[in-house]
Amino acid sequence: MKEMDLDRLLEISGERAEALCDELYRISYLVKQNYELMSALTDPKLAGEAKKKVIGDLMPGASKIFSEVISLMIDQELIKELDQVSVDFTLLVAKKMNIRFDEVIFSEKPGEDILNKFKKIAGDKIRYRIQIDPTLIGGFIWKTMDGKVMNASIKGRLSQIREEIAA
Amino acid sequence: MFELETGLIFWNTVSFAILVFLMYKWVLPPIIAIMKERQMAITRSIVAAEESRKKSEELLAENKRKLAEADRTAKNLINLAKTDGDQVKREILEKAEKQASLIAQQAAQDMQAEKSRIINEAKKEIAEMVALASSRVIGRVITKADNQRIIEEALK
Repeated sequence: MKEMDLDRLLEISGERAEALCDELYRISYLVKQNYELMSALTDPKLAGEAKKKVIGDLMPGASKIFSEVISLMIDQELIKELDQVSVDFTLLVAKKMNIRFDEVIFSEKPGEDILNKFKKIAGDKIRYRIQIDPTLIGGFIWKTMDGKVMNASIKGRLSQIREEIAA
Repeated sequence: MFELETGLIFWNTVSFAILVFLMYKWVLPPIIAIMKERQMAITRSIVAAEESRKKSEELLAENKRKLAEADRTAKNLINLAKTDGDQVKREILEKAEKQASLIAQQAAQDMQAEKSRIINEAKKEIAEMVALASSRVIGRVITKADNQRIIEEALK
Protein backbone atom coordinates (compact mmCIF):
# COMPACT_ATOMS: atom_id res chain seq x y z
CA MET A 1 0.00 0.00 0.00
CA LYS A 2 1.30 3.41 -0.95
CA GLU A 3 1.77 5.85 1.91
CA MET A 4 2.70 9.48 2.29
CA ASP A 5 6.07 10.04 3.92
CA LEU A 6 4.81 12.55 6.46
CA ASP A 7 8.16 12.91 8.27
CA ARG A 8 9.71 13.94 4.96
CA LEU A 9 6.79 16.29 4.30
CA LEU A 10 7.29 17.87 7.74
CA GLU A 11 10.96 18.32 6.99
CA ILE A 12 10.30 19.86 3.57
CA SER A 13 7.54 22.16 4.78
CA GLY A 14 9.77 23.57 7.52
CA GLU A 15 8.29 26.79 8.93
CA ARG A 16 5.26 26.44 6.67
CA ALA A 17 4.29 23.20 8.39
CA GLU A 18 1.58 24.78 10.55
CA ALA A 19 0.03 26.57 7.55
CA LEU A 20 0.14 23.37 5.51
CA CYS A 21 -1.39 21.49 8.40
CA ASP A 22 -4.23 24.02 8.53
CA GLU A 23 -4.81 23.81 4.77
CA LEU A 24 -4.88 20.04 4.83
CA TYR A 25 -7.37 20.16 7.69
CA ARG A 26 -9.63 22.60 5.81
CA ILE A 27 -9.75 20.61 2.59
CA SER A 28 -10.16 17.37 4.53
CA TYR A 29 -13.09 18.88 6.46
CA LEU A 30 -14.70 20.07 3.23
CA VAL A 31 -14.34 16.67 1.58
CA LYS A 32 -15.71 14.89 4.67
CA GLN A 33 -18.76 17.15 4.68
CA ASN A 34 -19.50 16.60 1.00
CA TYR A 35 -20.10 13.05 -0.21
CA GLU A 36 -20.27 14.06 -3.88
CA LEU A 37 -16.92 15.81 -3.63
CA MET A 38 -15.43 12.73 -2.00
CA SER A 39 -16.89 10.54 -4.78
CA ALA A 40 -15.52 12.82 -7.49
CA LEU A 41 -12.03 12.93 -5.97
CA THR A 42 -11.86 9.15 -5.61
CA ASP A 43 -13.46 8.41 -9.00
CA PRO A 44 -10.80 6.66 -11.13
CA LYS A 45 -12.58 7.74 -14.34
CA LEU A 46 -12.16 11.43 -13.53
CA ALA A 47 -8.87 12.90 -14.81
CA GLY A 48 -6.30 13.92 -12.22
CA GLU A 49 -6.10 17.44 -13.62
CA ALA A 50 -9.83 17.91 -13.14
CA LYS A 51 -9.51 16.79 -9.53
CA LYS A 52 -6.65 19.22 -8.93
CA LYS A 53 -8.72 22.04 -10.43
CA VAL A 54 -11.65 21.23 -8.15
CA ILE A 55 -9.41 21.43 -5.08
CA GLY A 56 -7.76 24.60 -6.41
CA ASP A 57 -11.21 26.19 -6.78
CA LEU A 58 -12.14 25.16 -3.25
CA MET A 59 -8.88 26.45 -1.74
CA PRO A 60 -8.11 29.78 -3.45
CA GLY A 61 -4.84 31.28 -2.29
CA ALA A 62 -3.56 28.00 -0.89
CA SER A 63 0.19 27.64 -0.49
CA LYS A 64 2.39 26.19 -3.18
CA ILE A 65 3.44 23.30 -1.01
CA PHE A 66 -0.22 22.46 -0.36
CA SER A 67 -0.90 22.33 -4.12
CA GLU A 68 2.12 20.10 -4.60
CA VAL A 69 1.07 17.72 -1.83
CA ILE A 70 -2.48 17.46 -3.22
CA SER A 71 -1.09 16.91 -6.77
CA LEU A 72 1.12 14.13 -5.47
CA MET A 73 -1.76 12.50 -3.58
CA ILE A 74 -4.01 12.63 -6.67
CA ASP A 75 -1.27 11.26 -8.94
CA GLN A 76 -0.41 8.51 -6.44
CA GLU A 77 -4.13 7.76 -5.89
CA LEU A 78 -3.77 8.58 -2.20
CA ILE A 79 -6.52 11.18 -2.11
CA LYS A 80 -8.91 8.80 -0.35
CA GLU A 81 -6.42 8.87 2.56
CA LEU A 82 -6.70 12.66 2.77
CA ASP A 83 -8.44 12.71 6.17
CA GLN A 84 -5.94 10.29 7.70
CA VAL A 85 -3.01 12.22 6.21
CA SER A 86 -4.42 15.42 7.69
CA VAL A 87 -4.86 13.84 11.14
CA ASP A 88 -1.41 12.23 11.14
CA PHE A 89 0.29 15.37 9.87
CA THR A 90 -1.50 17.44 12.52
CA LEU A 91 -0.17 15.09 15.21
CA LEU A 92 3.36 15.36 13.81
CA VAL A 93 3.25 19.14 13.64
CA ALA A 94 1.70 19.38 17.11
CA LYS A 95 4.43 17.19 18.53
CA LYS A 96 7.24 19.03 16.79
CA MET A 97 5.97 22.49 17.73
CA ASN A 98 4.71 21.43 21.16
CA ILE A 99 1.26 22.87 20.46
CA ARG A 100 -2.33 21.58 20.34
CA PHE A 101 -4.89 21.81 17.54
CA ASP A 102 -8.41 22.06 18.97
CA GLU A 103 -11.61 22.28 16.99
CA VAL A 104 -14.34 24.70 18.01
CA ILE A 105 -17.70 24.55 16.28
CA PHE A 106 -20.04 27.55 16.55
CA SER A 107 -23.60 28.00 15.37
CA GLU A 108 -22.60 31.17 13.59
CA LYS A 109 -19.38 33.00 12.81
CA PRO A 110 -17.98 34.18 16.15
CA GLY A 111 -17.07 37.77 16.77
CA GLU A 112 -13.52 38.90 17.51
CA ASP A 113 -14.28 39.35 21.19
CA ILE A 114 -15.31 35.69 21.45
CA LEU A 115 -12.21 34.53 19.57
CA ASN A 116 -10.05 36.65 21.86
CA LYS A 117 -11.62 35.03 24.89
CA PHE A 118 -10.70 31.61 23.50
CA LYS A 119 -7.15 32.77 22.74
CA LYS A 120 -6.87 34.13 26.25
CA ILE A 121 -7.82 30.77 27.70
CA ALA A 122 -5.48 28.87 25.39
CA GLY A 123 -2.40 31.02 25.48
CA ASP A 124 0.01 30.38 22.65
CA LYS A 125 0.00 26.61 22.95
CA ILE A 126 -3.40 25.99 21.34
CA ARG A 127 -4.43 26.58 17.77
CA TYR A 128 -8.16 26.75 17.14
CA ARG A 129 -9.81 25.35 14.08
CA ILE A 130 -13.11 27.15 13.80
CA GLN A 131 -16.09 25.51 12.11
CA ILE A 132 -19.66 26.69 11.65
CA ASP A 133 -22.66 24.41 12.14
CA PRO A 134 -26.00 26.28 12.25
CA THR A 135 -27.76 23.19 13.65
CA LEU A 136 -26.10 23.94 17.02
CA ILE A 137 -28.65 26.84 17.33
CA GLY A 138 -26.36 28.61 19.80
CA GLY A 139 -23.25 28.11 21.94
CA PHE A 140 -20.31 25.96 20.81
CA ILE A 141 -18.65 22.54 20.88
CA TRP A 142 -14.98 22.41 21.82
CA LYS A 143 -13.09 19.30 20.78
CA THR A 144 -9.56 19.06 22.10
CA MET A 145 -6.83 17.21 20.26
CA ASP A 146 -6.67 14.51 22.93
CA GLY A 147 -10.33 13.63 22.40
CA LYS A 148 -12.07 15.63 25.15
CA VAL A 149 -15.32 17.30 24.16
CA MET A 150 -17.06 20.26 25.78
CA ASN A 151 -20.55 20.57 24.42
CA ALA A 152 -21.89 23.99 25.34
CA SER A 153 -24.31 24.19 22.46
CA ILE A 154 -28.07 24.63 22.68
CA LYS A 155 -28.40 21.50 20.52
CA GLY A 156 -26.40 19.59 23.13
CA ARG A 157 -28.48 20.98 25.99
CA LEU A 158 -31.71 20.06 24.18
CA SER A 159 -30.32 16.60 23.60
CA GLN A 160 -29.64 16.29 27.34
CA ILE A 161 -33.19 17.42 28.14
CA ARG A 162 -34.57 14.92 25.61
CA GLU A 163 -32.59 12.10 27.25
CA GLU A 164 -33.78 13.16 30.71
CA ILE A 165 -37.43 13.15 29.57
CA ALA A 166 -37.02 9.81 27.79
CA ALA A 167 -35.29 8.17 30.80
CA MET B 1 -102.33 -145.88 27.44
CA PHE B 2 -98.93 -144.82 28.33
CA GLU B 3 -96.32 -147.17 27.29
CA LEU B 4 -92.57 -146.79 27.56
CA GLU B 5 -90.77 -147.78 24.48
CA THR B 6 -87.31 -148.55 25.64
CA GLY B 7 -85.79 -148.74 22.23
CA LEU B 8 -86.99 -145.37 21.22
CA ILE B 9 -85.68 -143.89 24.41
CA PHE B 10 -82.39 -145.52 23.91
CA TRP B 11 -81.99 -144.27 20.41
CA ASN B 12 -83.19 -140.83 21.27
CA THR B 13 -80.65 -140.75 24.05
CA VAL B 14 -77.93 -141.96 21.76
CA SER B 15 -78.91 -139.41 19.10
CA PHE B 16 -78.96 -136.67 21.69
CA ALA B 17 -75.60 -137.70 23.00
CA ILE B 18 -74.19 -137.73 19.55
CA LEU B 19 -75.71 -134.29 18.93
CA VAL B 20 -74.27 -132.98 22.16
CA PHE B 21 -70.91 -134.47 21.29
CA LEU B 22 -71.01 -132.95 17.83
CA MET B 23 -72.09 -129.60 19.19
CA TYR B 24 -69.34 -129.68 21.82
CA LYS B 25 -66.74 -130.78 19.35
CA TRP B 26 -67.42 -128.55 16.34
CA VAL B 27 -70.12 -125.98 16.97
CA LEU B 28 -69.43 -124.78 20.48
CA PRO B 29 -65.70 -123.89 20.14
CA PRO B 30 -66.14 -121.32 17.35
CA ILE B 31 -69.08 -119.78 19.22
CA ILE B 32 -67.03 -119.63 22.40
CA ALA B 33 -64.14 -118.12 20.44
CA ILE B 34 -66.42 -115.53 18.90
CA MET B 35 -67.90 -114.82 22.29
CA LYS B 36 -64.43 -114.44 23.82
CA GLU B 37 -63.31 -112.20 21.00
CA ARG B 38 -66.44 -110.15 21.37
CA GLN B 39 -65.87 -109.94 25.11
CA MET B 40 -62.30 -108.79 24.56
CA ALA B 41 -63.44 -106.19 22.05
CA ILE B 42 -66.00 -104.93 24.51
CA THR B 43 -63.36 -104.88 27.25
CA ARG B 44 -61.00 -102.93 24.96
CA SER B 45 -63.76 -100.53 24.09
CA ILE B 46 -64.56 -100.04 27.73
CA VAL B 47 -60.87 -99.42 28.52
CA ALA B 48 -60.53 -97.06 25.58
CA ALA B 49 -63.68 -95.26 26.61
CA GLU B 50 -62.39 -95.03 30.12
CA GLU B 51 -59.09 -93.63 28.89
CA SER B 52 -60.89 -91.23 26.62
CA ARG B 53 -63.06 -90.11 29.51
CA LYS B 54 -59.99 -89.61 31.68
CA LYS B 55 -58.28 -87.66 28.93
CA SER B 56 -61.38 -85.54 28.44
CA GLU B 57 -61.55 -84.87 32.13
CA GLU B 58 -57.86 -83.94 32.17
CA LEU B 59 -58.32 -81.74 29.13
CA LEU B 60 -61.32 -80.11 30.71
CA ALA B 61 -59.40 -79.55 33.92
CA GLU B 62 -56.47 -78.13 31.93
CA ASN B 63 -58.78 -75.86 30.02
CA LYS B 64 -60.41 -74.70 33.21
CA ARG B 65 -57.00 -74.02 34.70
CA LYS B 66 -55.88 -72.12 31.60
CA LEU B 67 -59.12 -70.19 31.53
CA ALA B 68 -58.70 -69.27 35.17
CA GLU B 69 -55.10 -68.23 34.50
CA ALA B 70 -56.19 -66.18 31.47
CA ASP B 71 -58.87 -64.61 33.60
CA ARG B 72 -56.29 -63.71 36.27
CA THR B 73 -53.92 -62.35 33.65
CA ALA B 74 -56.67 -60.28 32.08
CA LYS B 75 -57.68 -58.92 35.47
CA ASN B 76 -54.06 -58.09 36.24
CA LEU B 77 -53.68 -56.38 32.88
CA ILE B 78 -56.87 -54.42 33.41
CA ASN B 79 -55.70 -53.39 36.88
CA LEU B 80 -52.28 -52.48 35.52
CA ALA B 81 -53.79 -50.52 32.65
CA LYS B 82 -56.08 -48.79 35.08
CA THR B 83 -53.15 -47.93 37.35
CA ASP B 84 -51.06 -46.77 34.41
CA GLY B 85 -54.00 -44.82 33.07
CA ASP B 86 -54.45 -43.06 36.39
CA GLN B 87 -50.72 -42.30 36.53
CA VAL B 88 -50.71 -40.97 32.96
CA LYS B 89 -53.81 -38.93 33.70
CA ARG B 90 -52.15 -37.44 36.78
CA GLU B 91 -48.95 -36.67 34.85
CA ILE B 92 -50.89 -35.06 32.00
CA LEU B 93 -52.85 -32.95 34.45
CA GLU B 94 -49.70 -31.90 36.31
CA LYS B 95 -47.95 -31.08 33.04
CA ALA B 96 -50.96 -29.12 31.78
CA GLU B 97 -51.14 -27.20 35.06
CA LYS B 98 -47.42 -26.39 34.88
CA GLN B 99 -47.73 -25.28 31.26
CA ALA B 100 -50.77 -23.16 32.03
CA SER B 101 -48.87 -21.57 34.90
CA LEU B 102 -45.86 -20.89 32.67
CA ILE B 103 -48.05 -19.46 29.92
CA ALA B 104 -49.80 -17.20 32.40
CA GLN B 105 -46.43 -16.13 33.83
CA GLN B 106 -45.03 -15.47 30.34
CA ALA B 107 -48.16 -13.57 29.36
CA ALA B 108 -47.82 -11.40 32.47
CA GLN B 109 -44.15 -10.76 31.69
CA ASP B 110 -44.94 -9.99 28.04
CA MET B 111 -47.70 -7.65 29.11
CA GLN B 112 -45.35 -5.88 31.52
CA ALA B 113 -42.64 -5.65 28.85
CA GLU B 114 -45.12 -4.34 26.30
CA LYS B 115 -46.40 -1.81 28.82
CA SER B 116 -42.84 -0.65 29.55
CA ARG B 117 -42.10 -0.50 25.83
CA ILE B 118 -45.17 1.61 25.13
CA ILE B 119 -44.36 3.97 28.02
CA ASN B 120 -40.75 4.29 26.84
CA GLU B 121 -41.88 4.88 23.28
CA ALA B 122 -44.28 7.55 24.48
CA LYS B 123 -41.53 9.16 26.58
CA LYS B 124 -39.18 9.14 23.60
CA GLU B 125 -41.86 10.61 21.34
CA ILE B 126 -42.63 13.33 23.86
CA ALA B 127 -38.92 14.04 24.36
CA GLU B 128 -38.39 14.27 20.59
CA MET B 129 -41.36 16.59 20.22
CA VAL B 130 -40.22 18.78 23.11
CA ALA B 131 -36.67 18.94 21.73
CA LEU B 132 -37.89 19.68 18.20
CA ALA B 133 -40.37 22.30 19.31
CA SER B 134 -37.79 23.87 21.64
CA SER B 135 -35.11 23.96 18.96
CA ARG B 136 -37.51 25.63 16.52
CA VAL B 137 -38.69 28.17 19.04
CA ILE B 138 -35.21 28.85 20.45
CA GLY B 139 -33.73 28.97 16.95
CA ARG B 140 -36.23 31.69 16.03
CA VAL B 141 -35.94 33.79 19.15
CA ILE B 142 -32.23 33.52 19.96
CA THR B 143 -30.31 36.68 19.11
CA LYS B 144 -26.63 37.29 18.47
CA ALA B 145 -26.38 38.82 21.92
CA ASP B 146 -28.03 35.77 23.47
CA ASN B 147 -25.59 33.55 21.68
CA GLN B 148 -22.63 35.63 22.85
CA ARG B 149 -23.92 35.50 26.42
CA ILE B 150 -24.31 31.71 26.22
CA ILE B 151 -20.73 31.34 24.93
CA GLU B 152 -19.32 33.69 27.55
CA GLU B 153 -21.13 31.88 30.36
CA ALA B 154 -19.84 28.55 29.13
CA LEU B 155 -16.26 29.89 29.05
CA LYS B 156 -16.43 31.13 32.66
